[in-house]
Amino acid sequence: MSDAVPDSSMNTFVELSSVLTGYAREVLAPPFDSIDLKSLYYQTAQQAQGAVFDQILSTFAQIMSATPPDQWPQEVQEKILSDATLGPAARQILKLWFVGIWYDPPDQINQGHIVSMQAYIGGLVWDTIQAHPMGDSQFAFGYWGSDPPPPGPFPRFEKGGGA
Amino acid sequence: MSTEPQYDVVIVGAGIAGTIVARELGKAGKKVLILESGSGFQQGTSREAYLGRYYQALAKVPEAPYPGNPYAQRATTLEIYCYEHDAEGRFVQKPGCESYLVQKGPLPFSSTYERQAGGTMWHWLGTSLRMLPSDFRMRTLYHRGMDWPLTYADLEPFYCEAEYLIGVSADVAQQNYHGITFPPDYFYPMERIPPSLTDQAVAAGIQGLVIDGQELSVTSTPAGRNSAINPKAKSYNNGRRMCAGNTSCVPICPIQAKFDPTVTLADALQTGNVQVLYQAVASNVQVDPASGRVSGIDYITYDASGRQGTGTAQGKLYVLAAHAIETPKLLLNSNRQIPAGVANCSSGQVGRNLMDHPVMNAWALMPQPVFPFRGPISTSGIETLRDGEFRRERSAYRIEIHGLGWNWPANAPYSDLGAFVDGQGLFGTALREALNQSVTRQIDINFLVEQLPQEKNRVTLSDRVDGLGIPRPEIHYGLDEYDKRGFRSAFRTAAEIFAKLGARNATNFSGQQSAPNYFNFEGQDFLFQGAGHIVGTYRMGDHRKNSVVDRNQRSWDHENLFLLGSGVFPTIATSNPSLTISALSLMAARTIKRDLEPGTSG
Repeated sequence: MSDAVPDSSMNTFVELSSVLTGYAREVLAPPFDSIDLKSLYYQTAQQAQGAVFDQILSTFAQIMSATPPDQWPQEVQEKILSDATLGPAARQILKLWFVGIWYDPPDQINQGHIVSMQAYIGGLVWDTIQAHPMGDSQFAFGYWGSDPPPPGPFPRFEKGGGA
Repeated sequence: MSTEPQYDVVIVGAGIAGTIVARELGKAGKKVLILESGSGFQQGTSREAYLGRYYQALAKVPEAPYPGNPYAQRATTLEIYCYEHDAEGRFVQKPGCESYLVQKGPLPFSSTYERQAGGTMWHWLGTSLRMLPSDFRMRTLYHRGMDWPLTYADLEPFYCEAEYLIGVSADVAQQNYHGITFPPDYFYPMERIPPSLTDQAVAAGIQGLVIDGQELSVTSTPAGRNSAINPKAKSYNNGRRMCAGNTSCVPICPIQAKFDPTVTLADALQTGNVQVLYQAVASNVQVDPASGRVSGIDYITYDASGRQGTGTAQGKLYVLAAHAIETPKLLLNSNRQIPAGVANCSSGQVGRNLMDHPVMNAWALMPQPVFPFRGPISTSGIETLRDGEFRRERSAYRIEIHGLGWNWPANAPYSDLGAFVDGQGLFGTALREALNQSVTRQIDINFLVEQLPQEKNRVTLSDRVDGLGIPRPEIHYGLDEYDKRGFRSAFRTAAEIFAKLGARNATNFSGQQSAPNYFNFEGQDFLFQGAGHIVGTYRMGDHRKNSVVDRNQRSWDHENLFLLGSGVFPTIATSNPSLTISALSLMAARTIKRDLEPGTSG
């Protein structure tokens, strides 16, 4: 799947997703990415959003080339999320990463579809709340009686970021 | 028919009651046929397929994993929203929205069931509480409802047997409250399920809280899910895995650490004496007019393309175990010879006294993280208020400490994501922190309210039919003042618990007047949920005039017909019904075996 997407576009998509979700890019695009949610999400968004998706990526590509990483969140807020057209589309992508659901129309959570089994299981919200997807525990008997491990790494450039 | 029946016993329904009886009879060398209306079960592949459906379902409701089919339709949670209350408060159906259960109100019956091998316990929670001794004597003690025709002491040995059959994890020392007794030196096969962080916080936080004269305490809930084997039960091994806390007990355990009736079904088949006919829908119970005995059960078979054929299953004895909506439907539909329906002449009670545990959710934000969405969906409860003198005036309830944050009442964590992203425009690190701060502190406690039996709450035959042309169940259901006073008490108790915990109470039912499950009681708004506990529609009793079956669960009207499952409960008490269904089924199996002994008129 990822063959269809140019490396530079995928890189832009992953970096943008990292800013939107607050997760380090290694979480979104692990070095050995056999599940490859990033490609599924790229194509899901591209097919559904078309030119708006391209515009989000080109806007963020400009931000990447013009500003240092620690300013990206502020830039994304101003140039993408605050935009009447790009904002809802970017939030659609954000929520896709968190729960694996393509909400359509955007800006609501009642209508949509889970794009794949792996998308449900890979939803970031479960890590964010220090839990696991309902129906998919990688923990062992009795774990629920003790404190959970900390959530996954934040982007390197963010305040409080990991690694 | 003059020929000797091919089977000793014909059973309708391969759920918990039917498979327990089949297993017991099969082990005793009796020949059994089970008619199962739904599809069969392939070891391994069915669970995987069901799990995949669950993962991909937007609404993770009890029926989500299970496909259902038009020829053995079942009630679904989502269909309840085919109904609403209009501006005048009338219970009405939304145009163009079809529900299998034809609901007439004034409130919707909100619990559902499955029609497939293994039955509804595919999506039970695993709660394996015993009933209290007082629950069997509601009329005598509190002048409410009806006494059971048997006592706690009668059922106790079968509770013990059922706890080993299901594989229950619990600690006797925590379960001997409100008069519950155990045989000397009794122990559960497995140790109690470890309490969750939420349980621990509630247990520590409510110490000293007294409601209605009783000091509340938190106890581990007996669970039909695998824990560590009790060292005293060294030889116990049910061959299934320990719970890994997948947090999807309802609707499906991915690893079968939670018992379900495919276990007892497999045991039954293993005896070599039990056959199952899948996709065979019982449509009529034949009665021999001369003897009054049941002489056969007519069924319709189907495949993906629809109706295939018909047949009649014959045995010496018959067991209907199709749960508390389909069983009375079948009895009432068997009206060609007997207009009132089979098993209904003496009492007219078939289909009546439909009950559930109407559930009140109560939710709050704890001062500290308690980390929901980890572990079994519920591991502890507050059982203190299951009994008391207050039962003269209002419903008792048990309080289930839930492990899914605000998922049930408010669709967490999806609703939180929507509120923070779409509502507040959060993203990135700030979003993660907001989600973590809110969801990890969410708590939900559920009040299972004891509903009294009422004749007008009933299952009848609709003039609308299912995919095979069989009448669909028509449901008349509501809550009476006694039940609603239970809700009012539950609401106050929740507020006291949350105040004691220092939690911010978020329980709020206002602005929901159009919801089907809305009611107002003395100026206060409520919503209720179904507990999945369908009870009462062919109750047992001590007289043929007021009950459908006797204490042996034998039809008063037809001596070779047994009706099993929670339909026989005269009252619903406050315990989740599966363990009691199992114990009663073991008891019935013993009676049936005795009936089949040579020289008995069976």
